[in-house]
Amino acid sequence: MMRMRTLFSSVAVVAVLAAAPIAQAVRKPSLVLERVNGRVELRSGSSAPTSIDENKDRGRVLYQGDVLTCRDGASFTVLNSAFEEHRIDNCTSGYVVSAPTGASAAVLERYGRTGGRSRGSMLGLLLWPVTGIRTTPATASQLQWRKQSGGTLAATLKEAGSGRVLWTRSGIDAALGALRDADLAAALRAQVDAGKPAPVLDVRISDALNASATITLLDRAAEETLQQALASAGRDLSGDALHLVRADLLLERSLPREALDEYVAMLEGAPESTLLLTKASALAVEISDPRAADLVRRARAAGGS
Amino acid sequence: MKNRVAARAWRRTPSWLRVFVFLLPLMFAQRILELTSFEKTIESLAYRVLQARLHADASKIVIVDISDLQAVDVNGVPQKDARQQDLMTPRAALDDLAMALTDACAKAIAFDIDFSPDRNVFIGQEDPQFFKRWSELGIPVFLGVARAAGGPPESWLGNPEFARMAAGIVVPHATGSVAENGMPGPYPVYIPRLEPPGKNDASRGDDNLPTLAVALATAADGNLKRTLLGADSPLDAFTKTIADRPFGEGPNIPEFAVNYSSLDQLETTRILAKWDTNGRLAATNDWSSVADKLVLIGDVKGASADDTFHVANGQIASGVVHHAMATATLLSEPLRVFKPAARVVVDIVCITLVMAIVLPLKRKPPRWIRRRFHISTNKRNYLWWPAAKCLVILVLTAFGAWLVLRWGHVLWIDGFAVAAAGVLHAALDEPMETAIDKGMKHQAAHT
Repeated sequence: MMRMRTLFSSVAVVAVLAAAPIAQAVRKPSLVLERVNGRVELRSGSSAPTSIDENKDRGRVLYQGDVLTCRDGASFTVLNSAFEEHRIDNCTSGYVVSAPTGASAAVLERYGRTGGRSRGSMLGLLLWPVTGIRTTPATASQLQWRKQSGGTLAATLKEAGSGRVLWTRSGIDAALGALRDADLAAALRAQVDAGKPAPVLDVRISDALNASATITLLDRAAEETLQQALASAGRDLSGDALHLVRADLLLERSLPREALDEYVAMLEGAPESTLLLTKASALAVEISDPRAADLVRRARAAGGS
Repeated sequence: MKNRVAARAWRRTPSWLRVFVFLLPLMFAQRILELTSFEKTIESLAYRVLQARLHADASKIVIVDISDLQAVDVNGVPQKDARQQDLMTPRAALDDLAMALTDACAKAIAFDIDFSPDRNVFIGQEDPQFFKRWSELGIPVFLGVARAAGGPPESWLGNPEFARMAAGIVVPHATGSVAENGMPGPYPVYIPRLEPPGKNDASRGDDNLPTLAVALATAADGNLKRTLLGADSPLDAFTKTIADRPFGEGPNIPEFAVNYSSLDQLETTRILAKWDTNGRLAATNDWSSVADKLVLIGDVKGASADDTFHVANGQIASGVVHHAMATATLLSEPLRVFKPAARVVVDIVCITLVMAIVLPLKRKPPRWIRRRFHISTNKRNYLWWPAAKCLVILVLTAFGAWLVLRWGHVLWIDGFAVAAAGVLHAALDEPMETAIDKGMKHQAAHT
């Protein structure tokens, strides 16, 4: 039964898209009615409202400007242009079907960023590690997540592709917000040694609250070269000069998180340094580090970026 | 024989004319310089220096920071931990804010929030009702559009009825910098329609989505279009306030340059909106400072990385502050750049001035200097005079750039690249001339 429904919906969506150029001359098709729960009325154009039949109208094409009004706490579900289901339940005063939004946003990405207030003003659950930011096993094993008021967190490291579990730990206090795990570091190290430097980390508090990140690890040869360079710098330098050189070496190898840690370490000694705050805030913004907001604020206060 | 004639001709050539011969390859070098990143580096530095000398009045603009407003799900329930695509800025709270600002006699309101539908579905299920309500407030209200920017007008806010409230909030990647083509520190005037019109879409000539700053500034200044397009100033003959940025195979995007000097002023007048525990606007907010002002509403304190942009001096500003600075630019005085033909003329004039006045400087230093300092002829020729020439060229260029900036708000950033060519010539002029003279003498001795 479910399969039939899915098939029916898919056929309807394809039919909508295929019929779009023909229908465009009159009204533009926008959504497909997927499910109806309760009594819903449809007003299309200037015609009088008609009741939606739960069975007959499944897969019905909804056009720009159509109004669906729910009676007695009814709701309905539509398929959008990406075949995603959307449940509409705030419809007692009439839900107006939007005009098709088109696909110009993807084209505009070459020109600029969309900007505007983020839809979710909070960051995601997993703060570190982050997909797309290169790092080392030692740094990647320092997990950071948004602190919760309670509950426990489970984290699992899986091999990319096969999904084989490499490390797992449950019962972590979700209120902690951070965890450093030696076994996780060892598992990550083993992946680097095996030449598989892109494992996936899943964290989960509940079914509704989970996140994952693909960890991009520095390969073994590059890490050895880096360690040699860092050791060489350590022999010749100390204090802030050492941190500065280490930060440069790390940035040269595209390890922004590690470089940021060096700048943050320097900031402990010189908390109002405009230069350090500018560099640290720029790095933190670039990698969406949870410290970004604080660093940017401090940098502005210090007169930097 | 030919060499002897050439040598005689060279000796008879006045020294100021000889400079032309040296400058030809130099001008060629300058054109090559324009193609390299070094040229861009010089221009970027000049741009930053000139930006620091600017002043824009942002006293007519107020930013309302809604960072503390918690995101909610489609049912209006705060959900800190939901997926971002399931969240939105609560419309009831924004409605409270719009009403409060209207009551406080704000001149116009603009939201730096993307209200356009997502894949044909309104973000808030009651969005059309709120749009309708805000359109009837009695003051201009502009709603941000990003997802549907570049589409037909009816798609901007999901209904053609609301198209006049739509304003683009797309911020260029090149913001705060000197881009390859178009304006330095660019901000779009409008987002052109990127999708080809359908069969039933009669082209009405208003398919371009005005950007937030332009929409807001137009609400305050009816003559803005005239000012921007240049119909009033005598400078319009050789400068322009808008440049077209080529954008793939689609239509060009016209841009103007943002004056970032109002950043600090906007920071001091910013209002942080306070909300009660139910997510509604707190009664303790003081809106007295928004009377007769253009109000931009957005996230400043907690702006996400996607809504954070670089400005000219390397600082970072949130999107709403960026839009506010662009609005202040339009209301103060748009920045100008030279038109391509005028730029070439200015380059030629500058090079001529350098050739005619600066480079021929070879006189002996004043007597009091010669008495006080014993400077050898070689040092004088190879060190002191070249250094003095370089200094004069740089000072004159800086003065010229400052003058056109103060007088006409013209950003003459490529002038410093011309100066770099002049400095290069001043440094190499004497060794080159000596080498040529030696060559000629050697040739004459042989013949």
